[in-house]
Amino acid sequence: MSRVLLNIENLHVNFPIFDGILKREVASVKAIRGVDLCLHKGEILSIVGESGCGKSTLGRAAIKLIEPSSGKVEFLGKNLADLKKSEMESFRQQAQMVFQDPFSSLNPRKSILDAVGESLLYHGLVKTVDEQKTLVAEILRKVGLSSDIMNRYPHQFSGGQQQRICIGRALALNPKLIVCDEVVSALDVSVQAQILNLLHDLKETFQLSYLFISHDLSIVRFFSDRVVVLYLGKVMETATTKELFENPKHPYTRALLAATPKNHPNEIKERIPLQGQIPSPIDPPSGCPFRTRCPFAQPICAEPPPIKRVKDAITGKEDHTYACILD
Amino acid sequence: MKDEQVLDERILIVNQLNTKLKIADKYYSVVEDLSFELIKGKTLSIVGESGCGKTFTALSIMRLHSNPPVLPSTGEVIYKGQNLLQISENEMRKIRGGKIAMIFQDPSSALNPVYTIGDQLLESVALHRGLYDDEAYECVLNALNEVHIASPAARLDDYPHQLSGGMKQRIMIAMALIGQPDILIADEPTTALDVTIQLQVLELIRHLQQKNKMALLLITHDMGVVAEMADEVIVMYASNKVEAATVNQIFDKMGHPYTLGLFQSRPNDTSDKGYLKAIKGSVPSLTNYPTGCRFSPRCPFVMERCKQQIIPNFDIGDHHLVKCLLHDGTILSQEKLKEHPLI
Repeated sequence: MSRVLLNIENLHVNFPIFDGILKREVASVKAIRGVDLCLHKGEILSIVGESGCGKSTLGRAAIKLIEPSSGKVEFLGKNLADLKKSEMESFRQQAQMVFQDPFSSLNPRKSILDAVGESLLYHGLVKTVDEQKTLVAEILRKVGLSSDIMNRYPHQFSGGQQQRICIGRALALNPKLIVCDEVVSALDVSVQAQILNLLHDLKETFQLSYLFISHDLSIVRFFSDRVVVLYLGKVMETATTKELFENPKHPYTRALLAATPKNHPNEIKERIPLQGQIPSPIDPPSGCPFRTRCPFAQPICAEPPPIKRVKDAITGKEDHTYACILD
Repeated sequence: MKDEQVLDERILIVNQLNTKLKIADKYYSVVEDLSFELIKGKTLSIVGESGCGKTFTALSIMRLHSNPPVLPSTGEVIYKGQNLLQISENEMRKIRGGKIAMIFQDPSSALNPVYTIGDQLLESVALHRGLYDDEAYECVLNALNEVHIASPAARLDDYPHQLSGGMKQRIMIAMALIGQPDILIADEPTTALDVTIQLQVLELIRHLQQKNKMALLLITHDMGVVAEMADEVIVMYASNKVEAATVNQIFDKMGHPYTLGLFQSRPNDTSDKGYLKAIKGSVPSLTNYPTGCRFSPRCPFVMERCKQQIIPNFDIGDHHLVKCLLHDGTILSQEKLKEHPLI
């Protein structure tokens, strides 16, 4: 058996823009432009980048909530584009998603029993309402909630509790993969820690893999096994977490790490000043997308950058890759 | 005792500030007995989680909250010899946005979407500087240059939706600076921004603060921003000030279990892989505060008397105030303190 759970090759996602009386396609937002990545079983792979870099789009395209424009997404060796309807249903059970804002991802008119238990009935995991109640109670206990909240509604819970309910809903169908899209960024610091601990425990108990999308580098550093750095829809750098944070190669990764706030007021941090902001994905720069802000940019950066491989200190193999002309 | 020079540099003195909220005919305190001072050129940071009263503190100083449901604040906010809570609304309007300016968390909801940036900045110039026409235009361009907006003249005809979040926050800062403020209140100024933009905005605020000798009241939930910016720190929990100290005291020998919990909730280089020391439970609701110490239901060091009495502030050295019975010097609390070497 292969260790690979999810394999993405040369993925492109474009969102067309229509304008004029005839609503012709005049341009497109190139959200993802040729991304390769690979998620192993039992792994936590983080996708980091600034807003607008395409990290949420990538997460959604990975489980086919968005149809890719081109490229291949394979789950357990099967291309998602070729799945039959019944196979697609089984894929939907195995790949789940948790979103940033728990309140808007729960239906305000559905009780917690319906929110968590609806998919159980649909996929035929339970036959009767009694069975559904027993199973939902079990799921709620697993995510640290009491089982007697089943008949209450989302607005009666705090943000942290709502996120637990969303995680429970994702967990209900025994998935193999959960895409976590900024799951803790809407929560208070003390609650963030609780949710991260819960996700960690659940991963161990149920042998889950996470595609963990976040902009918070200190959480990524602590939580994930490997990191993909995304900028304007392209992968800038991929490495194991420790390697990436201790030996960042790409100027963008280095600038991101340098921009994170200090851990202590007396810490002296070397900053890499970045001018301006992320360019528009409608008309991204040619070659290296980062060259418009990069302090080391040269004329040659207008050409597509080479993909370089260096030895990763953790795996011992040459699987720390980055796209830059610099050594 | 603080020396004469420091006393002269005090620009705002907040004394026993209390703000109450009326919900269903009952009154609840959102800010309780809060006292602090702002010093020229220095930064005071108020840290806490949502609902702890940190934004209400800022709104109370500015008299910006709607009444009802919020009652007028009591206590003293002394600026240049007058109590801002007592002066008339007309006098307050001259100070608000001028000598005491404020920037908010979400710049897109703080700017008016139907007016251009230029219109909004010119209004502020007319109001706080009394300048019109060419002079006003000049003043606006200067302000935009100061916040490093590229080609400012072209930006004046833009509407807020045409600008990015970082640009909008710079416009807000420019607007705040137009009145040449003595005090800048920044309520989570970078929470909505990306880290690279956050750094740009923080450095801009710091640079302008030093140049104009402004006092900065920085409200945030992020200890990283505190480490970057603050000189003094107040930690708030459930409407109360639970700890007040210099930034080094807070980072090196935090005295309150809640402050410790805040630090341990954030991953750092020494955190065990995969597991954080989270604070159990969640923030109590305003309508249902526990008696005694409001943190006691979540506190790992809780003692029986924490739940029974009003907790005084203890000075644990060099004006480092902690509202916690662990520092009352009794044998039981001494032993509890030993359980945690950091406190």
